Amino acid sequence: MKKFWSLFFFFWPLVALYACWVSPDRGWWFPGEAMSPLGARIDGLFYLILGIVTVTFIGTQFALGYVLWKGATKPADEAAHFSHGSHSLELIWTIVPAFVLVFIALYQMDVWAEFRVQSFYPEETVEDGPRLEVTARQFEWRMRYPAPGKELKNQPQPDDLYAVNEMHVPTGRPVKFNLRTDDVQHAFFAPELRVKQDAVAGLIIPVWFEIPKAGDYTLVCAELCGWGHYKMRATIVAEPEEKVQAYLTNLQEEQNFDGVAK
Amino acid sequence: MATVSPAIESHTEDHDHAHGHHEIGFIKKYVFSTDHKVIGIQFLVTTLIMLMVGGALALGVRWQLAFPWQNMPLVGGVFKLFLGEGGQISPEFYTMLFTMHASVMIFLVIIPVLAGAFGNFLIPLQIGADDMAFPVLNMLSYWFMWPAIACFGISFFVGGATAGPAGGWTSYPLLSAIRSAAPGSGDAQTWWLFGLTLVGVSSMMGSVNYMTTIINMRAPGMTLFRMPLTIWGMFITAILQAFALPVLTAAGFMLVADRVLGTCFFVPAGIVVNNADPTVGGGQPLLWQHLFWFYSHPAVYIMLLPAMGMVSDMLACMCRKPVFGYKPMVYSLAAIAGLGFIVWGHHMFTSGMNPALGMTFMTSTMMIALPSAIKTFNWIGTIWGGTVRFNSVMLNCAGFVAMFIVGGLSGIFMAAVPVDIYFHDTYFIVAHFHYVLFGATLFGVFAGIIFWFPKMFGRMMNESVAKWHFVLTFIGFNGTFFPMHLLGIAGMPRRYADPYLHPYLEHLLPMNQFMTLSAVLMGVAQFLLLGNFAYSIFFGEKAGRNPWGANGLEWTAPSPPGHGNFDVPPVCYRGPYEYSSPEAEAVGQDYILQTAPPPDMDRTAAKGAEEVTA
Amino acid sequence: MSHSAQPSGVKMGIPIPNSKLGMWLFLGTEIMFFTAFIGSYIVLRLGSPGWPTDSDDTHIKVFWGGLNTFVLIVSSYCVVVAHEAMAQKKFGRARQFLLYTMGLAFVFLGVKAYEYYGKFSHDILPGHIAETPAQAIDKVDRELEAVVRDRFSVYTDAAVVDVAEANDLGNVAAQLDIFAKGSEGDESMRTSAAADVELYGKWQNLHQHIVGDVSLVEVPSAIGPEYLAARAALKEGDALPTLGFSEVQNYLSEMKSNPEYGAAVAAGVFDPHPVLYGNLFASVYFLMTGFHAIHVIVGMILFAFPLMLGSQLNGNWTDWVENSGLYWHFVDLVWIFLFPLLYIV
Ligand code: HEA
Ligand code: HEA
Ligand code: CUA
Ligand SMILES: [Cu+2]
Repeated sequence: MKKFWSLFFFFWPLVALYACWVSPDRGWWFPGEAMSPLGARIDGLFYLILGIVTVTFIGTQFALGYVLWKGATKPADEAAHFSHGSHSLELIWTIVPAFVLVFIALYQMDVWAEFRVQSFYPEETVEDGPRLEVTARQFEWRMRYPAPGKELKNQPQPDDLYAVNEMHVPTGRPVKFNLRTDDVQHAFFAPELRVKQDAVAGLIIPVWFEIPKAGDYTLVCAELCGWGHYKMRATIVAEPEEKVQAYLTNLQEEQNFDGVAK
Repeated sequence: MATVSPAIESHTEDHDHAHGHHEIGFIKKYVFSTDHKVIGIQFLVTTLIMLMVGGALALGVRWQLAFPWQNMPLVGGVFKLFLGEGGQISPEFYTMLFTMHASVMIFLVIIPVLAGAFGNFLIPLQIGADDMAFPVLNMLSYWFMWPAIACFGISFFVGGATAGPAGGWTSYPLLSAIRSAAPGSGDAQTWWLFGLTLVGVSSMMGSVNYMTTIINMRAPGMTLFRMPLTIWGMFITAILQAFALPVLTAAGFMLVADRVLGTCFFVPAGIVVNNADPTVGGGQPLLWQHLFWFYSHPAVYIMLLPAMGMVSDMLACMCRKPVFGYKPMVYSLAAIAGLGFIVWGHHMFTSGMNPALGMTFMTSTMMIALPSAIKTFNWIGTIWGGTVRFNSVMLNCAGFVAMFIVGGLSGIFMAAVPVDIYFHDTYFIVAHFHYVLFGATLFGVFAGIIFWFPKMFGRMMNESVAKWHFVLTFIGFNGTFFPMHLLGIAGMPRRYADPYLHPYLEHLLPMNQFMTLSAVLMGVAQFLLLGNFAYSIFFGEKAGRNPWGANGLEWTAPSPPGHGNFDVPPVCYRGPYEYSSPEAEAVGQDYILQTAPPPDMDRTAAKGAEEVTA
Repeated sequence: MSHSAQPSGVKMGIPIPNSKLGMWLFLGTEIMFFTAFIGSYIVLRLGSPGWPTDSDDTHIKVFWGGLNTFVLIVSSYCVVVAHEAMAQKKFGRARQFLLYTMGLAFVFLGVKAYEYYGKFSHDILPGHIAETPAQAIDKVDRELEAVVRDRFSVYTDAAVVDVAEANDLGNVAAQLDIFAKGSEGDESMRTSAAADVELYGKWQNLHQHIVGDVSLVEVPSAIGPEYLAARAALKEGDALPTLGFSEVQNYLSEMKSNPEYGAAVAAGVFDPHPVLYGNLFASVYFLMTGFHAIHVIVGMILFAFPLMLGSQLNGNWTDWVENSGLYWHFVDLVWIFLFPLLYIV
């Protein structure tokens, strides 16, 4: 029975590892590749940590299983090994993880800086400023674009263009937008782009991402905002610049349409 | 072994007395008792019941995630009765479910079971005191739990059962500050906050009491570095409680004021929620998050350190071997606590706070993995080379170590800011904290219950049932929570009543159904624990003073100890972990009580000690 | 406290009694409690674009705050003396100085009460403060309506008008008009009714102007319907001049001077006084001083126990006095932090 139990603690990590191993094929993994360059780098960091952690996991779990096994197979007459520990060992397993962890920490910095620290934002975003304003509210996403040729003001302008739950952005260049909320806290979460940013009442937060490939991407809400939290879905439509312009002019016409058919 | 001590007889005897004449005697003895043992057991039983309640709520959550919008079996009928509407879970009811699930589990199960139950029962016994420093305060700290439970209970129902508090256990404003923000943000939220404050008061009283007791009431010879790690865990936890909790209480008052007195600490100006009038004021929602996490991160270690201590004790005993590196264990406990105060920001990486803070908090969070590393490796080192007893206690402890490693390692992903951008508020988080909270702490608690049960009730728990409980819980647990890592990686956000609304999550339904089945298994397994507990109190096999052959002072007292604990006032001569030391071999056993005087002392004293042991 | 666990002489731990140690630790938690408040205050103040410091906005008088600081410090000193006296078994003297402390505590609360009164009487309360002139005008409008309702309730109670219509003020006003002009009912009531109809008219006038956003100078003392006529007369395209803050002030003071309902208006309507960021200020002010005041009261209760013993005060109470003294010093200390934060900077 003793042996069985020590094997039990060998066995379950194997199951866990197997589960992780097969999951990518089963689709229990990232929703596709990262669709933005920064996202790809985030994935890279994830896999780095995954590697380190997997090694640690196997190491520690099997060490645990092993010592249990030794304890199980120990001859009854032999007394337990009397020791109060070993400083040299403890030093080792303090210093090694210390280095690993410090390395991880430092290695993360620049990606974070690019994602969030404004002075590190790509210069395109500085040149053409915020493209639009995304406003979260219970339970929908509202887009406010400046009229074509104008630039976005924090105060709504009479000629601004509005859309709901559909966000059109140009492909192939970094896009910056202002994130706000009308009511409670929400969070802008685009899984395929690996972008997440809370929308906080009273703050206007500039967020940026870049989508090389045209297509539709999901946008959901990742901060509890009431009963409808789960259904706050929108689409990010990434398309070439001219299409975006076309979309905007079209919006403008619809908005100015006075009901008299031409 | 089984010496029926005079203390026990007198105990049972004046118990009869109580029945003999007036009931008051009984009430004083078992209800409004100031005896730390009784209070401890009261806490234990209460929290076990709350575990079931919280678990039942969790199963509600699981049901919705596995079979969205379908009538709940059995329970559904009940709802039909007093809700009128159908038996399926409405979205606002779902938010209420996980909010209350978390509140119950954290504030009414984990925190009270560690500090309240084991803290009360073990501290005086293990340091050789006859009771706590302030017995009455101690009693109050238990009886403040009930108003708290009542408040949480009321918050279920004031708004009608579909409008329970719906802010999540973190209750971020404005959702929790503005009444019109959600059905549950009305009176329910206010009552919830009252409950929170009362829990705070309760554990604040407890912590002051524990600190005083441990500092000032140790038995002769019980120097700081002869204290069992359990006591160290409790001591450091008490410090954390005392200095982190007031901040949450303060924040709670401020939020209540915002809700009922018209103040505006967390409410910025001009916000229009649900077409209510625009808000006046100029507060900051993020302020709440800072205050809340300044408490609640230390709190997560409050929910762990005592368990770490108890597990160290039990591992040493079950491997008949000293703890590997006693002092490093103590220092790492302290380090975790210390660092715990400067990492709260890792819950707010995406909250829009100053990004520079993000970097600092990432570094400090990484650093907190170090002391945890030391502990993990030292536990393994403790088992290594020992003669391991594979009983249910040992199994639960090994489970603790295994699960804590998983939970801790997943923490590393989230500590890395960029990766957390993606993982924040996904099921990866949910996986993480269930591994540390349930996987680590609760397995430690299960072990502790079995280990100290004989000291509490003078009887042993049934071993094979306990083993079954462990296996089933362990399997059910991993079946439920391991897949959550994968859900998180797949980008499934938490607190979603119906994730499958989103195409990129549809295919995860089967997996969630599997998890729910595992959860039910785990739930059913808990009945084994309760059954075993209840049965063994009355019919378990009688236990002597020291059934495990352990070293601590508590094992020199009768089981259960009478009022005043020790029939022979204990004097402490050595550390708590001298298992199979040469000294012990000399006496021909693989353990030696902390009270056993060293051979060079005069025999009579030694004799006294031996009798106690016998 | 509990009976010592150490029969043998050896005493572990530190050489101070449990009760005192407990009190010290408790004070530690208290410090964190107020640290949270002070921290929040700093965060909020730095985070806010501005802060009201002018004392006729905030009605903060450094003098009174300073006085209270002095009072507390002296009282702390008295506690010390009282405790020494206890230690030297001079219980009479101890009681005397405890009484002084108690007295000073009352003085402190008295001053606080006076200061709070100043805030209440100007409605400087969280959530009540108008931050912009526009908000101030709306506030006047709301308060006036309340006054009118209040006055009208008299007639609905006396059932001289149709009670069913009680909350439709316009309707009640119309009925009252008839009643006042008529001859039944008692004399005095009819005169007051006439006055209140006028009051209603004046409120309506203001209200309509706010709704329509037209300046009062347009139609000085017109009542609702006439005003509407005037507005209908506006030609296409000419902009509506907006309602000036000072105009409303004059309008209001004019009403307050009225012999009939002036008193009621004065009682029910605060002089409009917008305070930018006033609500945030008031929130913090009442939070901090409020919780400090509560602590003062708790301290007084602690001192009440030994005082109630009167001449039976004896040595067993030395620890009690010492510990409550510790607590009292803490309360004092907190105030010494609050005073500069709230009154000076
Ligand atoms: C008992 C409770 C407990 C414990 C002990 C921990 C421990 C840790 N937690 Fe956890 N945490 C929670 C309870 C807990 N947490 C809860 C409840 C939440 C969610 C709150 C909510 O939002 O609802 C949370 C959320 C949470 C977040 C926020 C995620 C988010 O919302 O975006 C983060 C981010 O950094 C984090 C990190 C960590 C880390 C780094 C540790 C570390 O202490 C872990 C250290 C341990 C190890 C690392 C394993 C052992 C070490 C080794 C084997 C050595 C070798 C290891 C390496 C070299 C890597 N936790
Ligand atoms: C110590 C803390 C603790 C514990 C033990 C648990 C235990 C469990 N938790 Fe808990 N959980 C949290 C703390 C905890 N949880 C927290 C803090 C959150 C975050 C909430 C938030 O987002 O705000 C959370 C959120 C959370 C979620 C995410 C909800 C969401 O984000 O949408 C889920 C989903 O599966 C879940 C499931 C479970 C399950 C299946 C268990 C199982 O272990 C339970 C097993 C069952 C039992 C132990 C009881 C058995 C009872 C019966 C069989 C019924 C009989 C009933 C009676 C007799 C009354 N929990
Ligand atoms: Cu919006 Cu969640
Ligand atoms: Cu944390």
